[in-house]
Amino acid sequence: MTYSDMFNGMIWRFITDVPEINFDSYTQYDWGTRLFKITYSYTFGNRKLKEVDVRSGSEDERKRVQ
Amino acid sequence: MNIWEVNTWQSGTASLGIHHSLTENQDISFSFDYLRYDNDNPSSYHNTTREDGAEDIILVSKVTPISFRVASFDYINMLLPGFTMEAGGKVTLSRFTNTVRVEQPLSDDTGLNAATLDENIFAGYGSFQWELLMGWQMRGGLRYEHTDSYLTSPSEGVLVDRKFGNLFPNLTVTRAFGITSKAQLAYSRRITRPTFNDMAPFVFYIGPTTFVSGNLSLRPSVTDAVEASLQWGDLWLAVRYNNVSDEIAQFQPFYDQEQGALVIHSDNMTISRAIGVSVSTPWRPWSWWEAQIDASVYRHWYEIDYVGRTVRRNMNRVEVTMTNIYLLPSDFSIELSGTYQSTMPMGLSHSDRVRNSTLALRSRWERVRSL
Repeated sequence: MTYSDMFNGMIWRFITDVPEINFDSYTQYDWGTRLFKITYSYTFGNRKLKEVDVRSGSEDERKRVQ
Repeated sequence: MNIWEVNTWQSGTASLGIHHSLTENQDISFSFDYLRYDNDNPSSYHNTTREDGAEDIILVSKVTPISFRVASFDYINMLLPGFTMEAGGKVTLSRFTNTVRVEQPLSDDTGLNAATLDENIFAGYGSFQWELLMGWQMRGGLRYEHTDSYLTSPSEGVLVDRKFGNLFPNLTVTRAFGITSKAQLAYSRRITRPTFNDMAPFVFYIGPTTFVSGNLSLRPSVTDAVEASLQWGDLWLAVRYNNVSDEIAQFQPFYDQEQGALVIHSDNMTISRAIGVSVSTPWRPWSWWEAQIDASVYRHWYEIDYVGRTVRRNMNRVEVTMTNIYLLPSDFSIELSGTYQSTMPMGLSHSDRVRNSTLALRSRWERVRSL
């Protein structure tokens, strides 16, 4: 069981203050990251099977679609 | 303003990987990945002006298919005991199409913004790892990437036709002191390409004259990083210096005089440098309480060009993470972790401090069975 962001502290506030061009703004995003989660994992099948690790070449590209 | 938005992503991946040992000391591997993403992001905005009660409705549809074809080949050879070399190549063909339609039914206005980005990257690399005497180890390599970026629009023709190449050297020297301690000095150069969300010309209205959008002219950033670190048992200390050219800063405001609107999008910073110190150590006050503390302090200097002016800033930043595990009877444990991040620079803007805390209760049941 996991309870994340218990105190709702993950609110992002962006402040822009550029006196050089007389620009001032304040933006607030509440991502709603408070989450209660129950996880159960179960291993099945033959545990003696050897794992094969083949490197994927597309890890960088996956990060670009986030 | 009432906003309704749906943002649906569908994705699929097909991968093929082949690994073959040529001899006892030589291996080759080949991989091919096909990635496909489809984003459907319609939204509507109903705005009423308080002063005169005037109404406006904006309907936005955005459809963005993205595809990647990635093929890579690697060859590894242990030429001598303690000396291994590696070489390989990688080809990435990507296509990203973005179609945004904006309708204002009350004023009968319709706008269409469509663009296709074809980006092809051809890369080759060589690297080595050398185990020297007296606990010394050296790793190094050189990678070359050639990028072709071609952005077109049915209405405006060719918007970007950019061809460029980058060399990425890296070198790490390590001196081990026994089994649990080592000192390391490392230099690396790496590239960070803009995400497709940073570039996509989507529109998300915050107000009638303020909207978040993409920036198709974003350039990739290149980071030169130097790090000296010391691991002494469980204690780890590091000092690092980063120099980033064209660092990508998100949520940058830009006043578009033609549209009379404030556009918020990602933009490249001119200069971004940072020096930081990090420390990481475990802490075990009692046999049932295990903790891990990670802390970093940074000093940032950066510059960004904004409507013909150079804006210079500097800022200190602190990050602290602490994870506590309390061991309970019957394989139960409680994990309490917290993170604090102080004010962080983001180009012209800065984000205020954030805190995160997580509480977890874990249990492990071993299933004993003979196969």
